[in-house]
Amino acid sequence: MLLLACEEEGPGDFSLFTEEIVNVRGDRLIVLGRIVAFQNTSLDDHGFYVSLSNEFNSPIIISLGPTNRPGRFVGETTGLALGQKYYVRSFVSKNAETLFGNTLEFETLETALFDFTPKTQFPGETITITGRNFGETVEVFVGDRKADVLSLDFGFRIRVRIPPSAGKSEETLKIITSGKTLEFDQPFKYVSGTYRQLNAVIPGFRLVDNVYFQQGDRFFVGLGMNADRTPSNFLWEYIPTENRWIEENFPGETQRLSGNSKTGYFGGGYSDLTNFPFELNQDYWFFNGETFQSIPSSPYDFAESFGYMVRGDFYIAGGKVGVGSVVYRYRPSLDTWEIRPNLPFLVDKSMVYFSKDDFLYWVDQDKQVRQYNVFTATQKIVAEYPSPFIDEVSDFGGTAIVVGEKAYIGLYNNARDLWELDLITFEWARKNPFPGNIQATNTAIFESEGKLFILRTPRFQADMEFWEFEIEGFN
Amino acid sequence: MKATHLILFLLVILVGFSCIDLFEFEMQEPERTLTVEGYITTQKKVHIIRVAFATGYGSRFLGPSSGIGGAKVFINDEEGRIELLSDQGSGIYHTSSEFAAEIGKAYSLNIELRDGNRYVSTPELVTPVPPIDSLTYQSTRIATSNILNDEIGVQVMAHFQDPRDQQNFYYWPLLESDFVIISEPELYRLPPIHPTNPRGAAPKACCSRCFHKETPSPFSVNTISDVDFNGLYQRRVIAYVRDNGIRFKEAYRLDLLHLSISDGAHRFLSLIDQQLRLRGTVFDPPPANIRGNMVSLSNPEEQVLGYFFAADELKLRVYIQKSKLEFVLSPPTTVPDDCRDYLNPDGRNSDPRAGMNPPLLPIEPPFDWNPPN
Repeated sequence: MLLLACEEEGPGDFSLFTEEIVNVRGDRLIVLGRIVAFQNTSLDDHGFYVSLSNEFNSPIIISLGPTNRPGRFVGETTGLALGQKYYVRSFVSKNAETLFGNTLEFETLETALFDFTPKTQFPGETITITGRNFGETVEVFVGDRKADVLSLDFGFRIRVRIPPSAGKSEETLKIITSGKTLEFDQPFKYVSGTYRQLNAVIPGFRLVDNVYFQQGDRFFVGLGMNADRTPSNFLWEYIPTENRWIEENFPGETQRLSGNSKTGYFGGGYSDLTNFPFELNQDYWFFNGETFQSIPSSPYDFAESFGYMVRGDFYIAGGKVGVGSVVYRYRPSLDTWEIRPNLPFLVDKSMVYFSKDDFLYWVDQDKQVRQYNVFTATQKIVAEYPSPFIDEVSDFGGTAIVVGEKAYIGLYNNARDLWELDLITFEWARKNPFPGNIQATNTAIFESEGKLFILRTPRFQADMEFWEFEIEGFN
Repeated sequence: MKATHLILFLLVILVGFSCIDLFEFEMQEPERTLTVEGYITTQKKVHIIRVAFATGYGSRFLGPSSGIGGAKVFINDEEGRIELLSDQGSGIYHTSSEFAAEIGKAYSLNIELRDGNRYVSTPELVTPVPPIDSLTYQSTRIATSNILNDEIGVQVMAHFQDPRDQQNFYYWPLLESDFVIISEPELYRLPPIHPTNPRGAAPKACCSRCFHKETPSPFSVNTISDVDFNGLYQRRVIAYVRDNGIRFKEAYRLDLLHLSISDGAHRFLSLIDQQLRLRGTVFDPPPANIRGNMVSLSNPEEQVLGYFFAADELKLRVYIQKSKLEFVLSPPTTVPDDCRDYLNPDGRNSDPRAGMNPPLLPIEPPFDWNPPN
């Protein structure tokens, strides 16, 4: 009886902890507290105090009401100021007495912009902006024009519809939220690129299986054959000032589906046009600006191969004769061929390919853009071609050209799409779709002064088409 | 006297009846408990989170564990970046393939169910995992209750330097692994229901070497804290694969992950491992209620099972070659059939009604199969 009479219940028979800041997101805080006791304790209230000062002046009180059970409790509040340091502590009230747990501090983050994709878009289409701590109301401006906000997810992602352009291809992208104005450093770009069909025609010829190359502002195209299967053992040069093609003599034999560096080195391929198996023509040539020079033939037979230049050396790789991954290199300084490590995959001319610096790039049948270092013989996937491929319909016949740090890839068979690939960031930007006849093959592509020149051979037309594409042209 | 006995007897019976009280017993039905499984790592890939209701034991069958679709699931880091996961159905949620955790950042998993209930995990900090210098392996023999048959298996050991300046917690989950399956098609016998020649010898000319894929067994949770070896060089068993007579006939390519996890995740996984090892003996620890790190914002008293964690990841791979093992299970298990039919011998595992046919095993190795010489 004496012992029992001595028992007294007081506020000190439990411990209170502000356990952990679970989440701080935008103006929202989630915090955990814990009452540690050996038995139930009747409490009038429990919760948290949140304040900008560690003296807890004018606190935000998260009141969770009475409780009598020890254990974990969780508090949540919104409406905190962004970019501020806060203090939080748990509390319990019992018999008009308030007890506090330990104090934790946390910081709310300012609203910020992270990224938007795609960087280039048509008017009326959507882009997605990501960032943090967007308020409940958000306004997005492209230049000075307001864009429709389609959705705002969890304060971090905004989907907007792009307004009509105001005649400029580049505009600033601005977001106003929670009374703050934020702007991306990188401008938003409307899809650009204008096409113009030139009236320079190669009379009576519809060239296929040909070679083409560019030296400065001189464009050359030829060899291969006419689409009616007559040989083409000559080339044409385009004279821009006169907007016409003139015929160049070629000292060699008919040569089609050759490996073609697009710089003046070419060779290999077939000599005949009709009989299968095709007879090989393994002559190799270099156009030095004035004449075609014969160079030694590769020790290995190539046809329908990749041809590309890296650091002044001519490489030929893959193809449909023999092993489709073999690589040989011609070194002009030594006038010799040498074998190089095989490519990790089989390749041939039906794939789009190009070279830049130490790398060969190609787009495989799965739309993967593979980057292959010709010196370390390592490859990796750097991007995926954004347009769909349809088997045997639009997964071949494309073209590519490098201009500065960008590659222009597309115009696949039966497709109008042309894309710009940034070779540093490997981001894609759409260009305006090709307006002409898509029942055609790409015969040659050149570039000069911010313009692409594309020669195409339509399937059901008498003459080839020659198009000028102004890369940054904008209507 | 007889009358007295009769009265006493009746009295006893009456008293007995009047003492019976109906005992109202209401059994507590187990509630469906939210379960969260999954983790993210520093590797760019699709990370998977599963959200489901676990079913408790009870007098009534409450249905199997069912995935919860239509929830909003996202992961946020301390800098406010958010990765919204896509609903794949059946309670499976995927990050984008470009998502990866970053060392030094803390991540929380957020779940909002269709009924409005919200859950959030406590933040999980990603700490760097030290690189593995090499992997070695050795045969091991474990005595079992069967005195005639010891268990044979292979232990894989990692050699690495544990960092001195930080507390580390390691976790090595085993991944689906490839191995060569060797069969004896020349020993093939016709099935017992064969109409003319039941069990008759019918040697097959092909094939005796195929490639199979499996999740290594026995299942175990390999996790450890460096509290006992902080800063010391390690030669530590990180995986064990039992020899079932088939796995180690030629080569077994074991894939596993080397993860650094948080103290909380290590404690959770250790307790899981401890519970999985219960064998019903007097030496077992008592069954325990293992608390995860998910918190219900709607009802803090609600128990949520599972633990969300974020880890630094290194992928490990080792080819376990029979020629380099001191011993293997002997005699090995005979597979008297074409190895391609291993999953479906004599068509026994086909279900024509469901259109289910186990696939043939390939005789070509995986494209990246490259065992050392």
